[in-house]
Amino acid sequence: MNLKTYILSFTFSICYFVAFAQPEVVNEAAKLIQEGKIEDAKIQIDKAITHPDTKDKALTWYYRGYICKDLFKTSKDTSFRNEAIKSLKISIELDSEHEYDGEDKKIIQFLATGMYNEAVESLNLQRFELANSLYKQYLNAMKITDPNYNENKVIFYIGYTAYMNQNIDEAIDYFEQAKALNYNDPLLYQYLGKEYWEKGDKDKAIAILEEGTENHPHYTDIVLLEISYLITMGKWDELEPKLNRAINLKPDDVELKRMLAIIYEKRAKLEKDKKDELIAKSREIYKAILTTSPDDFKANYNLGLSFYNEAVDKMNSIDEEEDDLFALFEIQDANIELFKQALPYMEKAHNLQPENQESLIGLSGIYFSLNNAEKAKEVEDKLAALKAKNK
Amino acid sequence: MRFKFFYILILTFVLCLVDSNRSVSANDYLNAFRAKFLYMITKQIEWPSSRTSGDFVVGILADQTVVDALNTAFTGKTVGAQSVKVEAYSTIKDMKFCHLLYVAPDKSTELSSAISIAKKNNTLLIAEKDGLIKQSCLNLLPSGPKFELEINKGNFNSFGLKYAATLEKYAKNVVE
Repeated sequence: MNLKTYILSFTFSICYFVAFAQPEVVNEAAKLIQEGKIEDAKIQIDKAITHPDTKDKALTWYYRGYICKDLFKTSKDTSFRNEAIKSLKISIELDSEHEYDGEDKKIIQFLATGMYNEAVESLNLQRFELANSLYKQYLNAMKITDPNYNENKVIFYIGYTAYMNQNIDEAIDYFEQAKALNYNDPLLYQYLGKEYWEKGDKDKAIAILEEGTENHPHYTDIVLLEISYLITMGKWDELEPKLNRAINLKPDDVELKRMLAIIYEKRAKLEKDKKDELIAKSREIYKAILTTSPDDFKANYNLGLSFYNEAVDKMNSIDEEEDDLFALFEIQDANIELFKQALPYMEKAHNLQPENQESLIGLSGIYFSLNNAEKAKEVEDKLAALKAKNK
Repeated sequence: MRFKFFYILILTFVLCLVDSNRSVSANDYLNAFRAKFLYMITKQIEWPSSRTSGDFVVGILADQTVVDALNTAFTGKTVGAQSVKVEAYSTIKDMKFCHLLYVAPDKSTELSSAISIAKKNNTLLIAEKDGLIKQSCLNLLPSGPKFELEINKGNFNSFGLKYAATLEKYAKNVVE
């Protein structure tokens, strides 16, 4: 608001009001304002708000709002700001002829703008409780000027500050309001989904994140959050399209690709009829990663482990009641091929991170399984030395 | 106001979620083979009738990782009508009656001390090292990257044990 215009307008108003007959006590307050004696004016106007002739006049409350606003400006005491807004609200309510409400609203908007700025500042300083209170005060003040006022951004930030204060119910309430008011920010869905999850409403959380992804298809964080929840819920079969979506958004992200490969491996354990197909898919991904990033430790390690685990699974799948010893001895031949395939990846992983215990264990497992006792011993010694060093 | 690190944080979190429990134990595979073999071999062996009541005792002379793996593998298993009970021995001196004794390669020097007790108790002695078929009933012979079966027919007879005729078809070597 243009302060100069505002002061001129107000000075004109004072002169106008004083020129006409007003109850003495109000006139006195107006004169004191003109003379810049704001504290004395406050004493007079406080008498006026209890005087039978003036307490129900819109002008009386307007002056009081004005005086309290000035006192707030000089003292920064927020109780004056609150009193100003309260008085101006009464003034508007009493002003059936709409003589002063324009001025009332201007002052309220001026004070509310200050509240908003303070709220943003508090937010930046991570003083979330204070920011939450100031955003609410701002909203309430603006609703006095326009009962239909609903700024979805402010409502979102009330929700956000409640979220940061761990007030789940309040956060959900405001986030839902902001959503209903079409607040268009992916963070809204991210936080709202998170709050429903925290509250234990898992299906609602997933539904919100789905909606968020639909409205903000290029925002990866929502997809990842949904993936983490689906994993926690054990819904492995629903993850593939989500991850593919995330990979399409970030095609260079190796971690996402590796995650998809791991999810195929997890599914392979659960969906026995699709096991081979899923394992093949996961290996394809690891190999694709290694084509572009041959030194990716995890891809090397996981791929080596994938072949090793297949051999262990094959061994464990022998049915002791139904199969005969022939099957047991025969399966060794097939498994040797798997260990041979596992070996170069595990060796590479070990070379990339020589002090990584997992790859040492994996490597010794492969050497043991290939009955290469000498190499297995060598790796085990390295592992023992490493453990002793890390003690 | 955006949390720029949220993506990294959530990605790391998700990776931890999906990537947990991936480590292996070095002997997973060999122990799985041993467990399968030791259990399946019991179906090929006939113990004297005096040994077919009570628990079926599997004795293990091996390090703790092997013992743990075999213990897990044998939990809830039966041989005929007998429930399997696993007993781990740290030396052959601890050995009590058992239907079957598995001697790990690193404990094979103690095998010779087990023979007389095994004979008396009709214990099936199973070794896992080249050259040990002479002192045992069965030997899992490391042959390159796999095991092959050796049978000592003479020891079976002197230990009072019989094996199914089909067992020889799995064996690489049968010692009289």
